[in-house]
Amino acid sequence: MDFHFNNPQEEDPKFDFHRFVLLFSHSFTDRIRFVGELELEHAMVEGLEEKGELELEQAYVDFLVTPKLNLRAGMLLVPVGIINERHEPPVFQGVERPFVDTVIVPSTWFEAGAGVHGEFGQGWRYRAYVMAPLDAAGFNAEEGIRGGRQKGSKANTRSLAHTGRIEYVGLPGLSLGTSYWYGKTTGTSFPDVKSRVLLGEVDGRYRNGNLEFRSQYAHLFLDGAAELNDTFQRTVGVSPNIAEQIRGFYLESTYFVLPYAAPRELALFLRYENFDTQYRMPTGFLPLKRFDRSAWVLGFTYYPDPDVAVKFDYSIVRNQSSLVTAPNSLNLGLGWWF
Amino acid sequence: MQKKILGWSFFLTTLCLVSPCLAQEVQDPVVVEIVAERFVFTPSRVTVSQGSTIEFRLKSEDTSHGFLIVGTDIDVIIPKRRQGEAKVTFVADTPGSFRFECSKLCGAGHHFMRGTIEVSSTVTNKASKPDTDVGSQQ
Repeated sequence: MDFHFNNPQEEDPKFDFHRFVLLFSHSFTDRIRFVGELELEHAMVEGLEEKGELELEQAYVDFLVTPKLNLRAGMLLVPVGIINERHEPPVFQGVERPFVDTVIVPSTWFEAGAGVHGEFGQGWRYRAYVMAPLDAAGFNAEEGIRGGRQKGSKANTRSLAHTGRIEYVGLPGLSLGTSYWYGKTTGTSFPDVKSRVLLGEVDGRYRNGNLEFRSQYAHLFLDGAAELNDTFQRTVGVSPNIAEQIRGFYLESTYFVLPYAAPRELALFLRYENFDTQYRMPTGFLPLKRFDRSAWVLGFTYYPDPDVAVKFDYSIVRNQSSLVTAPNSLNLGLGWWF
Repeated sequence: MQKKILGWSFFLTTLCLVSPCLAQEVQDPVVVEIVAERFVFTPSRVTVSQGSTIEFRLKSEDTSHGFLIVGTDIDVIIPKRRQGEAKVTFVADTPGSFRFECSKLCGAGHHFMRGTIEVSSTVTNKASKPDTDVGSQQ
């Protein structure tokens, strides 16, 4: 559960019950399991208005065969990045998720699909899925591919995408991972456009004593961006100015202050992010510098219990535009999990 | 009568001398420390010889998790971070592979939290260091 108070510069402050999540699990047998996650975003869903969302983020059946090879099918989380598969509020610092995990890796990124997962041993494990592709009709300059998620809702599967992740979790406190997504895009609006998305990503987390570090780098290549922009221009009248490369990274350090008796904890954190959804443009298109952004996010999380997080942060956002400024933001949050 | 007393004395003396060794061989468990964190057990693979007794000491780095060894009646709750540890003893008397997993729904990747205990058929009568994927924290 995620309850926020957001106060961006030059905007009215808002209360937002951002996420209300219900998890379900059932074991048919020791080897056949079901997991479901239903999420209500922004407290309500209203017909004909984009107010909130009711999303089926996970609903899959696992067939556990051997530790090295297991099968999974249904609505799956795309195994890319730190946050997407591990997004409970007490698990990450900051009221909102990192910008990179919002506009470069569009978390929460879930899609219908099937695949395999397992462990190689020595702390190595993997996931590999075939999934419904992205819909290029939803791509834009500000948030990259975020609007292209089909979310398993009558998802067009004219072509299939594939995605995978390998991670090393063999040492206490250490987690290293690399992942990708590759697939042709789909889109009923312009079926003749042949574009492809390749997203590559590396990430790491390490906690030792009171210190934790995490970092992530993600780079996306969009083949056919020029044709997409031209097609939009012809059909809608406005080019979305989609880039052919977008990329972002962040570095975060957290210090866990332990002046209190267990279970209470206080974590101070500082995160630097750099992300550009107009990183490389196709020939004939100029980048919009307002979308070449960086951010410093600093704040703290107070844990009265390991499953309850009271959060505060201040985001200082900058962009490369001389005309449009990026708003700083003061945020308060209350997240819990049980 | 004297022979009987001598015989009993010898038997009891021998028993007293030998019994600590027997007790040590039977009672000294192999200690394996496992850290649980969404969504992984570290180490996630433990290899021991048949006949070993493993004492698992289980700690969490975040929320409370479950520790279930499939096919046994072992199913304990690992307390939340900084709230102590759970201890559980597993007697590896049958060779084979035993899966352990989190038995308390702990988040989106709950079903990734699994591991294996490999019991090799080499019989051992004494406590020996187990092999783990990441080094046991004996």
